[in-house]
Amino acid sequence: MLTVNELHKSYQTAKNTYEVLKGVSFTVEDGEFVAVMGPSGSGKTTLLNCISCYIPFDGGQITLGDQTLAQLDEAELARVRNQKLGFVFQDFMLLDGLTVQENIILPRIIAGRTSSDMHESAGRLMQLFGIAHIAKKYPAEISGGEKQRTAVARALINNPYLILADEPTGNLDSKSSRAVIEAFQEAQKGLGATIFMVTHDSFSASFCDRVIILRDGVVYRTLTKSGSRMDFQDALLNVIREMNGTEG
Amino acid sequence: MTFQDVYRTLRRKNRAQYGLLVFCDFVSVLLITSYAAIIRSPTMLNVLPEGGDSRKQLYMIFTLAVIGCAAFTLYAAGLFFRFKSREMGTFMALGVSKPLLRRVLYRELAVISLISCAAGAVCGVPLAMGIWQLFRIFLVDTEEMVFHFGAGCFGIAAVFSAFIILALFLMAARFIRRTNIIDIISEQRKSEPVRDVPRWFGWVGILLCIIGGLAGYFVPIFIILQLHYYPGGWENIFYLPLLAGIYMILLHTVVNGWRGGTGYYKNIITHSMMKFQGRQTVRNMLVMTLLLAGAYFASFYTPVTALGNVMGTNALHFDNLFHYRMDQDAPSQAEIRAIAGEEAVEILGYQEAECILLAVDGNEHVEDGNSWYEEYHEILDGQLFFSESAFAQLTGEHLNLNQGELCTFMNTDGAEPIYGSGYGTSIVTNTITGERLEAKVTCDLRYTEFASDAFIMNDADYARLAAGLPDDYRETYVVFNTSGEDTACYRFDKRLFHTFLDRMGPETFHEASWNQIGRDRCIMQYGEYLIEKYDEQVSSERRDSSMFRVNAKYMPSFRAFNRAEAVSTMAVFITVFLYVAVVCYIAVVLIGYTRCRSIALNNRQVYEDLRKLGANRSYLFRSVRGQVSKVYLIPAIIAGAVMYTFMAIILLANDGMLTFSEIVGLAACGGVLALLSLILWICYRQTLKAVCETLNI
Repeated sequence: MLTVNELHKSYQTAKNTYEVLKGVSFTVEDGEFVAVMGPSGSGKTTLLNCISCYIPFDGGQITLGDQTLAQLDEAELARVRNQKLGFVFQDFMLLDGLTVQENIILPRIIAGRTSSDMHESAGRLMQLFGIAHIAKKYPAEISGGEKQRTAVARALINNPYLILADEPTGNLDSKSSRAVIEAFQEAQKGLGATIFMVTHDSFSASFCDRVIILRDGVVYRTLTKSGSRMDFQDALLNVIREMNGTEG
Repeated sequence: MTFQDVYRTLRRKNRAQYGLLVFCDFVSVLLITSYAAIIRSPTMLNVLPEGGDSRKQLYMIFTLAVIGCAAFTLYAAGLFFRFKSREMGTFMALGVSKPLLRRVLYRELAVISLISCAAGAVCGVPLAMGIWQLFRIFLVDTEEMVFHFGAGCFGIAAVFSAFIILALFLMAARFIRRTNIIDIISEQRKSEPVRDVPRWFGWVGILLCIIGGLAGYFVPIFIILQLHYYPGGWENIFYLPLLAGIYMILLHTVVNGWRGGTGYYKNIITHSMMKFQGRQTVRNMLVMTLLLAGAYFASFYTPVTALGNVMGTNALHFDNLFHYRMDQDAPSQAEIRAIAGEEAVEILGYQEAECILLAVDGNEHVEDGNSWYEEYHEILDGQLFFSESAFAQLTGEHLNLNQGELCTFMNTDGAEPIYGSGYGTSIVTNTITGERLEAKVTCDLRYTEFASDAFIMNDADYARLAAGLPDDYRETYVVFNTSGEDTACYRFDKRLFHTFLDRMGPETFHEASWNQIGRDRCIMQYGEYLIEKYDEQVSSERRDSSMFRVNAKYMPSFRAFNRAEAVSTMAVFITVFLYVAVVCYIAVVLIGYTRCRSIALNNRQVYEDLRKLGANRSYLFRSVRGQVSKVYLIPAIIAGAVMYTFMAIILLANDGMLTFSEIVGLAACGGVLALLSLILWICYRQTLKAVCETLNI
């Protein structure tokens, strides 16, 4: 599904160059729910932005299905973003001037596939994520959790290969966070979606099948869930403690 | 539903942001068109002499207005793109291709900019005519004040609009071209901090202001006088330190503030909020400062000119003075007394005296491209000469000049006349007979009425040099005072003014410095006499025009008439400068208001957070007031101080001294400054109220 190989990315400031990703490699399989964790500055969000093609990268290769993203031109990249990727952002990125339903069907409108089943698909997703009752409301009129579930529904409307989520629970309270994570689980189980999520929250990450832990721009450890969610969360916390202990 | 439908829906929902851009485009084109309509109207072009100081000053302020309005519009466009960034970034993230985004954005901008610019250009002319008409109704109305429309203003409006539209499209192209979607998405939230500014910026800024102001004014004078070179347009670069100084003062004020110690902590919120939106704030304040400087400069014109005229009229030695060539049939004393009798005015101290036109020697100022040199001529130009006894008859002032001695004239207030003091004269010649006198100027008298025009010589010298002169080289000066009611004196003056001019032949209607001797020399040397190109503007038919009243050679000096018609004489000058001041002021208020509103909108969350931290209403109000007042106050202080000082320097440097009328003029400028500051303060209070309402404070 998604293969990241030897990815390098650096940022240039006025005087210095900061290498944020120093050769990151991993794969995400079809239907997998994978999280990336790591301390601030470890390169999580940069990694996600490179995979999304939101920012250019310096070296390495990202392959989505059979397409190498770096080789695509602007138009093809736009098509990939629209049809093969779904995005969920920390601050939702819903358009304030559109209703919840309109926000959800926006990727279909952009794709030009405004068939009659568009509203049915949106309706199914809204039912699935418990937001059908707010279909006609505007983002300013709904809660953070509802906004994020709307964003998840929007990410799924085009049946993408992969959903990319950047700290989707970062701005939410625990109840809303749980609802959003459950929405991802529903998407994974009910719709067979593949999800790649950046988070710093071990609770959210413990719902995933696999967690990649980044430190200083490289993959520090990869943990795969084998037992219960709580055991997995403990294991994650242990690795984080271990990582913090070896710092400095 | 299509993408275009979505885009249209969003546009409808975000009317306010679009409205701001449309409004700013519209207002800036409106102001520039209306300004251009005024300065390019035949009304103005006929009155303001080409190459004259007044026209130069108007164009200088117009340049400031163009810079200000352009910066204002670009700022509004910047705000628009900042606002659009989240929407555009989201579209890009969801897979909308850049060509599609570019297409819809360009189409939208084309419609917005074309409609708003066209509307601004169309409304600019009625606005100019409307304000001009208001001035005519409430201030002064003369034949000259009739507004004539010149289509040339649309050319200026078109160029300005083209610049705005081009800039808008370039900004849009750059906006869409960016590849980093995350940057685009987060653009709206990005602060615009200014880099650290050392504390010495403030004082160095003030120093640069002083250096720039002095260098801008005096270096070109030095170059012209000492290096004999005309710098042309680039002489304005010497003002650049002034501009840099203003920018540094603004930066220091916004980033560091002038108060150290506890004041810093007291204003820490205001200060930090301004600092982190520093770039736009400082740029806006700089534009406001420039526009206010233009507004102040234009506002100072009226009090300085009007007071100069009023005090000049008051300082005249005679209520009535006129002179004419002896070959002309001027009203006689009996006729004058008859008119006076009809108007119930008594004539007091009527005197007539003869004077003659002789050649004086001196240096001619010859321009050769950008350089100049002086060329001595024994016969340079013509001047009028009184004999001692004739002058004593006229004024009662007795001199005791030896042969070969001359007495010249200074202005009544002691200042040197505009065309020089006459002290350099050493040879006087009768150009008809060739009789000459080697002479020396040994004294001066204070009579503005004769300054730059005349000398007094020993009676014997006069008799010798006057011999053989025809009547068109001889003139009669008539002076007298009047007694009667003011309105009667005015009616008398007016009748005499018209009677006198009606009797003068067309050959006498020339510009003030025209004279037969100067003409003969120039025609012989250059084949033309440039001053004659103004003859049409001072013809008898144009006797009610400013040009005639100020520049006609035989314009009578009648105190009651001058006093009553002073405003109408200067009407067009006064009105146009007033108009310019109004335009600049409107632009300043709009920029200030828009900037303060955007500060409020950008910082709404900060004020919510401060509330949560326990800040009471009074603290929040103080914080808002601190920001809004800075936006208005600092440009007003800097522009006021700079322009007031500049005006004082101009008046001082004119003749090396401040005359009483100039001191009174400066005091009046202070009054105007106070009045304008009051108006600005009212605008500031209204803006503060609007910002507080936006923030629910």
